Amino acid sequence: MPMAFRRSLACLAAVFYLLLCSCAPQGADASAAAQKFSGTFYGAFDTVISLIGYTEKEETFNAAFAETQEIFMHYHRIYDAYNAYDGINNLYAVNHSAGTGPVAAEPELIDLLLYMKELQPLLLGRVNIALGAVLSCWHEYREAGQAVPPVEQLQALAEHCSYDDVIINEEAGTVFFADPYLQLDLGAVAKGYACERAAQALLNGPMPSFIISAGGNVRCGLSPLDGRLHWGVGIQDPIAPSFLNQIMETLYTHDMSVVTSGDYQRYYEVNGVRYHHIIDPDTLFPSGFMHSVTVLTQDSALADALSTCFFLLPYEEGRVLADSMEGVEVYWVLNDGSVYFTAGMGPLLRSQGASSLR
Amino acid sequence: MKRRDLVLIAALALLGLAVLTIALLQNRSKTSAGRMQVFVDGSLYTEVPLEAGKTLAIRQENGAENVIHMTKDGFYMESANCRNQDCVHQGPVTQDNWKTRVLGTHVICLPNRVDVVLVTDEYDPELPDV
Repeated sequence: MPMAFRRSLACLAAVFYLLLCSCAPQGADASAAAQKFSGTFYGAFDTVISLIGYTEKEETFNAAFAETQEIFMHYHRIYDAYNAYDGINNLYAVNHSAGTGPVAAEPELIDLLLYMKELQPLLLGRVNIALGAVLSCWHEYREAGQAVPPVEQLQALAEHCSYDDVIINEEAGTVFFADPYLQLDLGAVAKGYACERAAQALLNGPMPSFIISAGGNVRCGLSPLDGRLHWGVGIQDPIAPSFLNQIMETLYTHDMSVVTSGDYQRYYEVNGVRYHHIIDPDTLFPSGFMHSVTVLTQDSALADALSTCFFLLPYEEGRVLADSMEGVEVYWVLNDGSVYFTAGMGPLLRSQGASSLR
Repeated sequence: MKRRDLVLIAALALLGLAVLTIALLQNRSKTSAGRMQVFVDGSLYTEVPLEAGKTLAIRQENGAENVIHMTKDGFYMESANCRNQDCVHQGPVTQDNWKTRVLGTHVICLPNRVDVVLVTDEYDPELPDV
């Protein structure tokens, strides 16, 4: 082969190389072939659920997305307090007839009831899933949007809210309410519990680098495959007007759950007074200790239950509880706008110099 | 090196440059700041260039209706027949404000399952993912 022709070939190769480079996807240089995919679905737990994942193939993401959606819908039907489904002994069915005798309940429902029983001592009586009678009364008044439930009515219903009256027979797979007026409400934990099941499936599958966002519940999988170490999770400013929906802080983490409870999330107004949806089991009214609280811990169900618990505790008491817990970090926004956070939370916050890269 | 080699090299280099330019331009127009995407029930419904003052109505078979008002560098939900009106209260998305919004580049109507997204090509590793 003549020398000159060989040089031309080398040049040709160089040009082709240049072309190839210009066609490669942006930001894909560092971590080989992984690409970012995302998808959204509706219908589970009355919210919009998003999944973002890094993987090499689109089919891998699509399969993971379908499985995530299936898991959320599966748990949604079982923990649904408002609708019956053919062939599913769900929360609605149990609430409807467990007052008259033991009724069959799906294993996933029994599991969650036992889990919450186990958590009771930790939650200091703040999160009571037997408070259903009181909570559904608030729910009806909130939907109507006209008035506040009469105190006497709430107090009468509160007589029927003892978790000790929920008799779970694990072997038989049944639930019985010793108090026929008792109602269960899983709103404080069901979404987080389902989210953790979905996250475990993803962590054990071919796309462990993911983040799930399910309306206030965020579950981060392993690090994003774009060169970053952490995912970024925005914390909403609970005081800024809703149309600004302003971020007040960004938290960087991976393989962790981040759940926020806030007075701005679900509320209605009567005579200019705002009534949100997180009810203090003692006063039977929306609690007023703070604007919002954000909990970071690995398990999404625990994060969900704890965020409600901390929201229903005065800051000082919550701080003592948080400091006594391993693997739990908390971020409070109090009524005067002041912010407090636990020692382990600081190094994860953007305002404190944290970064997604280290 | 012969003269025709030089000519060949120059020609190939020019060709390469031309293709590179076209690729870059295409890339830019694809992810231009002036576009928005509308997703209905999780699927891409339409992607359109922004035209200030223009509105886009999304009407679904189930009767759900959302009207999006476009601005020079973004959009807002002008009206919706949903029960909670959250999407209307989420305010405008612009090229300036999306980095500080909790919903980022999105305006979401949950009851009608409509998700409107401002297309942006800016990448900042410190911005939240969710």
